[in-house]
Amino acid sequence: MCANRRAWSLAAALLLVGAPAWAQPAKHTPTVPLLIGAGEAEAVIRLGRPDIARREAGGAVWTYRRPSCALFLYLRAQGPDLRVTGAAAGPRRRGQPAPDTNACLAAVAADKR
Amino acid sequence: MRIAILTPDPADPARESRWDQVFARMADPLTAAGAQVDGPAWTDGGDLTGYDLVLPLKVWGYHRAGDRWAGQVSAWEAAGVRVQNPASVLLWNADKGYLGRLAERGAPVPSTLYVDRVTPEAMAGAAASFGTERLVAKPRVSASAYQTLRWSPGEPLDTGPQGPALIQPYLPAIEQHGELSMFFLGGAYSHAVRKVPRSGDFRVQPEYEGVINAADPSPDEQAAAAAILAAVQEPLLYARVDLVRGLDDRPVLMELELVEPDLYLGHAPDRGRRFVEAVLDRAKSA
Repeated sequence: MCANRRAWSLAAALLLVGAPAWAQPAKHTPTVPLLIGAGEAEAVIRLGRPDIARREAGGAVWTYRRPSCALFLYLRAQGPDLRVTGAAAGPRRRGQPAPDTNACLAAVAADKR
Repeated sequence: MRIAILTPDPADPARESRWDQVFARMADPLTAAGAQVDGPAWTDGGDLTGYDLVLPLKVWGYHRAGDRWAGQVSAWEAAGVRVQNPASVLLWNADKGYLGRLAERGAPVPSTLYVDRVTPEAMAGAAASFGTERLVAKPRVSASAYQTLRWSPGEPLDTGPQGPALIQPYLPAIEQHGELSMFFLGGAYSHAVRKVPRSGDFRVQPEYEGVINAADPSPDEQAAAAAILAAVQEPLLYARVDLVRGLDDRPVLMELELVEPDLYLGHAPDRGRRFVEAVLDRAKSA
């Protein structure tokens, strides 16, 4: 609810100062919220094909490996489709700090394969 | 400057529609501005990489070939075709499940129940959840009110969706005030039309004799559209935001058309000048 109010307040403020009714992003970088609900084809378009795709009961886990991080994309069967339900990032080496998930997403998207 | 506006599959019933008239309203001002405009069918399979920009604005009927559409969009992306709106958008916008995703990011969307199949039990559950027995059911993948059903208890479901669907409260405001369509081109508001159904109907499309006139959105309609587009979180070349007043009289999103909307350029005060500028700007920078 708070996010809704903030979005509406921003929109109303933009209208009052005569700015375009919609400030669209100049450049697109996917984030976890943007991916939630995406089907397989959309996920591949945004991130490329995973390095590892593991099917599990009722879903799948896709792993993307980049020098700075490993991204795990979680998909769950919804009807006949698999849809993204979440993502998490992990370090490439044991003992390294956990990377920011959106930063890892951006690294994967920037180097789509 | 070479522009392609993709057209319906020659084997699809949409080829018998008025797509060519709408195509001309889009292509003629671009041609007048010096662009070469071609209209290959989206199912042609030809090489589109030679175009400065590819617009799927007339792929009417694509929803009847969902798997083929997804495969074709994915192929364009892989081949580096300069398609706009972005390939990712052309995929997610094909399934009305996007309403739920946008709602989670702050867009004003009517209460919606997603079902694998419309059954009497599903409709009863929706009625109990929404607190109203007047409902609308529509397929998750559809266009032009195809298999869209307005329903009250005891009425048959056989003309409604036959597969995955969404169920929403029926919004009676559509009968008096119609549906407002707001058009955004190149990131800026362009124009709007209001579509009012014929007496006794709730469908606003021209094929159901809906009446269409130019309109000026109210401040709350403008704010709703801005919140909806902000929820998209991706740059768009064109967008049509379809709003209806909800049960609480606040504007809510019926559909966000980002694949093949009729842009109603004939109703734009500038007769399509902003459309031409937005397309040519994007073609130069794509």
